[in-house]
Amino acid sequence: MRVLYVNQTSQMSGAERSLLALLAGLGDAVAPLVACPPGELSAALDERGVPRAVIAGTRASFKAHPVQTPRSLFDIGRSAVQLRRLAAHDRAELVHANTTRAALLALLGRRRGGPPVLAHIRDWAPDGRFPRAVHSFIARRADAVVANSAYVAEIFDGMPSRAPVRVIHNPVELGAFDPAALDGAAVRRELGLAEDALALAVVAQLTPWKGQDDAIRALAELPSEAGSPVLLVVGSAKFAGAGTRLDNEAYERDLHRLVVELGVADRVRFLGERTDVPDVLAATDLLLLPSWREAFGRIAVEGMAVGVPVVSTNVGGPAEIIRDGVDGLLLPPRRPELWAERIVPLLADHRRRLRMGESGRERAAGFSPRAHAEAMLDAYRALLEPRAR
Amino acid sequence: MAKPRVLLVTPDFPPDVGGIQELMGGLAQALSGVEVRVLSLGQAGAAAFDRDFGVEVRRSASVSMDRRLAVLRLNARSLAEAAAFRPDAILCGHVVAGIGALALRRLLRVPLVQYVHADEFRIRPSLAGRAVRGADATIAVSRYTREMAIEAGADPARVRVIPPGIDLPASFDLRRPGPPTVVTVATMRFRRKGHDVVVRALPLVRARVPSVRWVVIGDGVFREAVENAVAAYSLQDAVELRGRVGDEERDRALSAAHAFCMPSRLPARGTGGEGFGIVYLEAAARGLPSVGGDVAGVRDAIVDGRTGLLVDPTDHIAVAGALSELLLDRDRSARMGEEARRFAEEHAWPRIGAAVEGVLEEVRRGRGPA
Repeated sequence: MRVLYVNQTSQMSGAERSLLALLAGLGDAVAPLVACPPGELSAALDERGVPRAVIAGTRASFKAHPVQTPRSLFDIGRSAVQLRRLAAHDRAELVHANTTRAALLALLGRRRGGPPVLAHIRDWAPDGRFPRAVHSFIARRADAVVANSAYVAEIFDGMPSRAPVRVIHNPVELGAFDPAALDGAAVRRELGLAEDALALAVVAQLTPWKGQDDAIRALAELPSEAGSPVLLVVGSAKFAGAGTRLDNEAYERDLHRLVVELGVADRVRFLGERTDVPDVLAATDLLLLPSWREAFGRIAVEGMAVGVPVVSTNVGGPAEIIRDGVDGLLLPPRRPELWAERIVPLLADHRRRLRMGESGRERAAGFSPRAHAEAMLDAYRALLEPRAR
Repeated sequence: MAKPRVLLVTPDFPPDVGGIQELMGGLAQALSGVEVRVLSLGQAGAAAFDRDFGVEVRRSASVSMDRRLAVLRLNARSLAEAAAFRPDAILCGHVVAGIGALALRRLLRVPLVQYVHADEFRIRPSLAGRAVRGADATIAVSRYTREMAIEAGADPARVRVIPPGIDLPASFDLRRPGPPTVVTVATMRFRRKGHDVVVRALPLVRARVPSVRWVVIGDGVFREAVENAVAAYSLQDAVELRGRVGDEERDRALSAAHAFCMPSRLPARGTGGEGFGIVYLEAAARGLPSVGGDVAGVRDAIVDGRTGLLVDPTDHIAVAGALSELLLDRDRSARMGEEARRFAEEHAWPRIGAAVEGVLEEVRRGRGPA
């Protein structure tokens, strides 16, 4: 099956990692060609020997901007034309657009009688006329829509659409997360954590909706009988350039102020970006996921794979990954006092945490690239079969 | 004197199932003081249904074709239908039929009453705005929907809240032997109906009510997702996914259960959601208290603490708390069931139909002789 994959950027984040994992999972079932701008993603593709082609791509934001918007429109038009040529030239049977923006490019560039387009939607999107128009356009034009969680699929609830939205959770390459091969002790030594000190962690870019402030507040709310666990805050403020909706750097400053205000400065460690996240997870007793609107929540699967119980908000993708009371806890967002109350017994019960970690490991295995690729192949076949007949 | 003639244009109509369909079907029969003619979309089983319906139903296009095209044809057909029927007023069931209805209002110089539900303000905002601004009166199915109509530009003085009506079963029984049972009746086409949250709540309920059962009626594209979630929590032995069933089986399930649960939430983004939630009334009519989301039109469909409990619909812990309360305190839930039945009686179709006729009468007088 010849599939043309489209990604509008080469910057690596969740969507790009998922694409690489999908390609790995698909193996020989698909002959891929990936269209993306030059950059991190194209380098990773070259490294893996995946054929690729260059398109202009776009950084279009969902918000209008006097300079950015006209430029985005130009980039979108150019990429759409490039894709149209590529699809014809490569004789693709199917176009898999890896993101909302990529779907826009692919649908604008398609020609009559061209290959069907599968739109892979992975993002929560802000409310507003423009994003709504984009989703409604995709729903009406795309031959298939895949969402990476039911939470994301809910965007399309009630929209007139050509095909029902299929939910296929992201794949997570778990090779690096085998607890037997990880060295949590080294990280704990590096951080100077006492042998019996409990470590909580939040691993996410520093941005308001990731809710690091709630994690800090929950820590501060813990009663003294919970001992004095440490909170590791892993991640940095990203996308802090022009056109950023939320000022992530200001948020980072607020967090530093908050720990002082709440008197927990000595128990909150800001570790910044880490390249050894698996080892940090291995050093963690309880992973916190306080985000308000996580589309999928890769870190939940990674934490579970390492055998760490996860305490997460009950909204978004994580609530589909973590089973409340089985692999961790699901709690309402923005309620740090409640989080503290529910975390206390878990911190006191080492065996329960171990059991949860064990269940989590089993559950995480279900997110393998192979399983993901199987589900995606199913979607491909469903799309191509009626045409073959 | 001949009864005034009312043309009811609605894309959604039985035998198709759904809240708006049910509302329009009931309404067409409840308007006893006027001569009603219904114009809707064709669909499988329509001929047999219309024959026994008791009110004249015309059909154009079909629900199975592209929705936009079908609605376009419905709008066009409404002109021809009105030319023949010469209505004294037009009642429009959904804003997507509003274009034709507005044209008719101008051409025939007859008053137009527009029904609004909720989700149309999210999915078709500009069309919905035009429809409510152009109508002589707007009927909103809840206070929540009324706010949305006003937000969209409707004149507040012209927006009436009239909840959906219901056909009351003659009798109901508050004695319910059998294991503690929660029932959900909801399509599996819209994720916001909250099946996912009930699945998450169930283990917490089970910890307090070990023999609890969950009966789920309804089907749709994400049934498999519900099945997977039930399996992920190892709840198979407590859950019965019955799929789509006939009205009789649904009513039997409602009559045998101890709590109705549909924690319907707001859509992921923006406004919309449950305009009212007729199904809560269906439960109430059978003496069954409900657990619903403290959002949108549900606030008009359940009286918190009296006919059921309103909770944060995204919070499975809160849903579990409410369900456990109803299941553990049977006396209290029976009292709530009684209140619920009384509440449903206030929504009996004859009363609701009279209210709608009142609005029709008002706009006819308001417009004066043409």
